[in-house]
Amino acid sequence: MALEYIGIAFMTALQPLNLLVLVLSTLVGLVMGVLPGLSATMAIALLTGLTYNFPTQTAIISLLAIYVGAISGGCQSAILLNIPGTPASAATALDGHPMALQGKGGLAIFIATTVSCLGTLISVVFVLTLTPLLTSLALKFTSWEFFLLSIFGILICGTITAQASPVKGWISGILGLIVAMVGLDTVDTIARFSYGNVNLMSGIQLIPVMIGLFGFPEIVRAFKRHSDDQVTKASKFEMKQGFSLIFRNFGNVLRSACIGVGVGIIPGVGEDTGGWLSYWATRSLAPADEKDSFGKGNPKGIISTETGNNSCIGGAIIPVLSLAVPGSAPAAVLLAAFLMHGYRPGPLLMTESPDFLYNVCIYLAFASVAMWLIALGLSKLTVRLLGVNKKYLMPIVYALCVIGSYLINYNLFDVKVMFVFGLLGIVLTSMNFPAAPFLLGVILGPMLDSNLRRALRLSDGSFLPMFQRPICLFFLAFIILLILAQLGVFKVLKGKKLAD
Amino acid sequence: MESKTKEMIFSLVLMVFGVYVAIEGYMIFLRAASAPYFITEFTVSPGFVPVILGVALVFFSILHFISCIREEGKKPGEVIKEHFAEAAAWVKANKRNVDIAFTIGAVIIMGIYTYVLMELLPFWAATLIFLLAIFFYLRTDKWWKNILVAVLGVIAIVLVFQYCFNAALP
Repeated sequence: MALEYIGIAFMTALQPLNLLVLVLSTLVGLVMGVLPGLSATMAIALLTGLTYNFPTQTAIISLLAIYVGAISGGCQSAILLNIPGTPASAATALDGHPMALQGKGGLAIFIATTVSCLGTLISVVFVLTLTPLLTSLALKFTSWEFFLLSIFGILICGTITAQASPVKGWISGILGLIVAMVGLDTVDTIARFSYGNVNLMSGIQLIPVMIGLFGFPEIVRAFKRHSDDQVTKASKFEMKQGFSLIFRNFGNVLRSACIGVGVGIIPGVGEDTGGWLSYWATRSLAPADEKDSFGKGNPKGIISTETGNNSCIGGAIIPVLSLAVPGSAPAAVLLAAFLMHGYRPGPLLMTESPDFLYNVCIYLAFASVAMWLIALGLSKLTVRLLGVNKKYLMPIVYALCVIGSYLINYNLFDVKVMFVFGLLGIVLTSMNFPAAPFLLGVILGPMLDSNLRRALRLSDGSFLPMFQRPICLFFLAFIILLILAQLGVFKVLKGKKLAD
Repeated sequence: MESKTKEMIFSLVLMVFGVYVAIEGYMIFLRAASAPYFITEFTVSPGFVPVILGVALVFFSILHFISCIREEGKKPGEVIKEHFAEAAAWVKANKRNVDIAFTIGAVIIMGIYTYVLMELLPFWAATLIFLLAIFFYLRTDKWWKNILVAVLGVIAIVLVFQYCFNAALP
């Protein structure tokens, strides 16, 4: 039966109208992903309305193609401009942009696009085969686990991005968490840090913060009168070298895909965390002499982040299909779109519409291949951005940042927020504090706060249940070991032992 | 200015900010404990996490501050004095730094666009004025090229967003 469903889905995807919609939607997704500030969530949200009058299968193809395109497209601006197109590609900028500065922008984009395609394809296999197993694991997560997962994510991100001094990364993460506290709290709806301002009461939106932190410093840097104008030479794709690099790092691709799917399946933890965790795993497992090359243009960094964030797509769709619980923010919008088109994802989906799982998988696979072909063509245009006078390009990018911030709520307040966080981004950059943990803090803040307080409320204010759960103990042990290791406690102990 | 000096001063600012967040968190707890909420248990109060975050920020800022003032063969007090003296000298030397003033000028133009023009004018008009102002301020290229790029840029943005993506611009 499954093969029959797969065959029907395959034939549906190959219909001329659907193929055309697939190509156009992927292109739109890629363009929105490339443009800083236009996230995958926004891309799906904006275009869901446009697909309202489409035939159901065509609409589903369109939405999945936009999702895949937007997540993958973010890497291009991360590599070429050091401005992640989407939060998911923030980690890609770490090694991607240094590669572009070394004149290897084309190679970096080729690697990122190819592993993005591979990541999505591998995640499709997971969606098809491991859905029931992985879903049962995610169901074991309670509020305590989600709380510790948030801390774990921020600590890892801080450690990775502030290599010389992890404390700076952790401070940056705490600042992000503090920003996430602004507005009405999600448990009791009491205003915090709002000072009577109605706009602040609704909280600080993620997208303006992201654009401000990452985009603004890059834009302002281009305005310097005696700017160092690091105009990178547009380079060829180096497909042979790219394929060879990916082939040699196929273990990295598989590991990152598994991490991405695992992260994607956990509700609320999205593509950005998947990318960061994959990057962290690759860097941790690298030989000691290679570790320093991460953040300076190591292709392995790009391979892990792009595989990790794209495989999250499949991972995030697994709980959407089986539990009607989205694995990430774009998946949440996708869930709403599925409902709008007459599907009821959840435990009854396989009884009511057994073909839907196979349709989604085949459409995802088609979208990832289409994305690979289109993104490589599109990147020939984006690579040329490097040659454009930045004093022309950056003011236009700023206008795009303004639109990106505005379109979240159609509110000019978000544009002002973007400007304020842009100034903060300049301060953080000049102090060598990484911006990525800050952003992750803003993303994970509500999850940390609401889950901790919900858990404490259920336990009458006692922390004891946290120490009685095996997954929590694993997270706790990992968090404590990470902090002690980074503060050099083990080195001191080792030194004392040797001295004795 | 040396990186350690900047970071030492910044860690002091962060410490003060951490104290403020912790105090504000406690005030939120007091507000939540009174009518109409009556949430008297501190750990489930909306002020609990801000207090924890404020304390954590102060703790890590102190750790960072210590790492900034740790120098072999020197007392911490001496190092702090040296850093402050260096900061004062840097401010004095860079009062008339052309590059910094030029960049601040560009940021002010961006601020005017964000806070004033966007409030008063339609998006296309505000953006056209901003692009023209910044291109001429930065002396990007010849005057006619600046005007051409600004006009074409605005048209392209409006076409893509308003007509292709069907998004309502301000």
